[in-house]
Amino acid sequence: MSGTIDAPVELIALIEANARLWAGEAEVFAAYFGSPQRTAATDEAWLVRQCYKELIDGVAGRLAQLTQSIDESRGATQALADDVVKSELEHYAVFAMAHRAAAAMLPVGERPIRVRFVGVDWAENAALQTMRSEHLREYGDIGRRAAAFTEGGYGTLYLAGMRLAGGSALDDAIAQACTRVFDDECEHMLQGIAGLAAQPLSRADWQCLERLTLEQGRLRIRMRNAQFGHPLSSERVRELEAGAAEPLAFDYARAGLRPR
Amino acid sequence: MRAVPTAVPLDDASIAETIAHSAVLARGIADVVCTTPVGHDTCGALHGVWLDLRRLGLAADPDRHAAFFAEAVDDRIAHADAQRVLVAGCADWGMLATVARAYAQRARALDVSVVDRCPTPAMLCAWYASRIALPVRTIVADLVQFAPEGAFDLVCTHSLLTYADLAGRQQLVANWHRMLSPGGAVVTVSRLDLESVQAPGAMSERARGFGDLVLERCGELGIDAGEGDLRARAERFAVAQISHRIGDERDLRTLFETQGFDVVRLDVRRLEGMTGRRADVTGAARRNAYGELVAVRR
Repeated sequence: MSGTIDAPVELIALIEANARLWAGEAEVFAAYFGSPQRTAATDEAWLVRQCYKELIDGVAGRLAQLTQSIDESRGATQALADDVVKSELEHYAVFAMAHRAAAAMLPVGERPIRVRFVGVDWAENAALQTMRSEHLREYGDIGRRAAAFTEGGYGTLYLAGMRLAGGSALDDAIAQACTRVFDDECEHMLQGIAGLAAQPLSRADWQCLERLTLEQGRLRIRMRNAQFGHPLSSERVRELEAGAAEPLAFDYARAGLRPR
Repeated sequence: MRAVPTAVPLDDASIAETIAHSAVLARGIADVVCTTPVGHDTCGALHGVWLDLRRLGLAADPDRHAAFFAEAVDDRIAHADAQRVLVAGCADWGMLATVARAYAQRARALDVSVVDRCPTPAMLCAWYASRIALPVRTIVADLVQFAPEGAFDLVCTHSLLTYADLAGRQQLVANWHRMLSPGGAVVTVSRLDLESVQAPGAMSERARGFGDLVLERCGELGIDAGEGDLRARAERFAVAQISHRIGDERDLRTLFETQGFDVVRLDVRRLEGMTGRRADVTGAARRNAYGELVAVRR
């Protein structure tokens, strides 16, 4: 981030309100990676879903947006060159490599030959995508900003995965993938958040944005808990959705923001 | 997940435009994503050029049997109340579009899933479905092992059976039987072996011939072949494809009947191709006989 600007109080309030949900998401990963029930098979299962998110939710969704009203002059080539498309495609590739590492650790006979994924059995993710679409349709630009703000959940998955470095070969493969993705995601997310500081949003817009991001953030905790095989109880998930976790500290300096 | 497809492009110009745009996307995606071994290469040899070949009229795609698929799917909607549909294996969004069109024309709700071994067709189907606001489940799995939670009313697929040998085909059809509800149906087209199709010349010569043909068609249609390196992609496609002999229409019928289906329609259709003898490669729109089949689960 070049330069530092003052963060509006509304933005600080938005960040503080979401920081408890980011911490809730982080608790899912801490519970999973610290669990004795974690195996190569459970890693294979969450990585499959992560591949799905990167390719179907990420690449296909973004390309559909970009090519919805495409004309010959801009073309699909330009859509493929879009930064988000390129990075989501790369994220798919690095998680696919981690998936192959997990699959290779499975007993012979249980190994998928290639990355396979299912979206059909992940209702919590479908619910999140549906909510984002509805927010976009109903609130337009504020809905788009809400989705951008909650995208990646403040990178808590990638941070948790990066901490596995130095463990088993599979731990290292996951850590490598997460490190690669974290750099991209963190930069995108911080740019998006910092970009809000420069936007002339009304008080009502800020209030709407906060409401939408919190709704999406709560669904993200459910979505992650399902992705990782429910390491947290339903009761704990409800507590986290209600903001029970200690808020994560937001890196204002990295975002190029100065809290007032 | 059910919805009436209301925004399916029906006119030729819109369909052609969608093919042209997604051909570019498919190249970019396949070059990163495709790793599944198929034939003499990976699935990227197919997925990275298939939409270009469709654009040029050189792909043996479901559109060559458009009337059959439209009739057969419509019949299952009208007379069997088919709602839950599985597109079983696909190279792109073509079969999904065929199914969606049939439901759009009847204004009936569709609950559709797409399964393929490679993520690239799944991604292209998700992209297409998003454009037409149709909910779709995209699943990457081996169709022989795929075990959905609920049953389907209809399985639609095109030219999938020739990818497997006899034992593989039997397993595939048996799994379709397991996936279908009683009275559910398979609607498919498969190449038949009614005459020798062995073209003269080595594969490398035919691959070069196919590359020449792609360039000619690009010239005729005013398409820049250099942009996507289409000649190299076409030659890679030509060399990579393999196709198992399936036999004649009696063999195709037996395949389904022995796995618990009643074959209620089996038409043999002879199609002329655009490839000619010099570019006679598997997977291309060549002259051949095809079985157009509807089989109902007993």
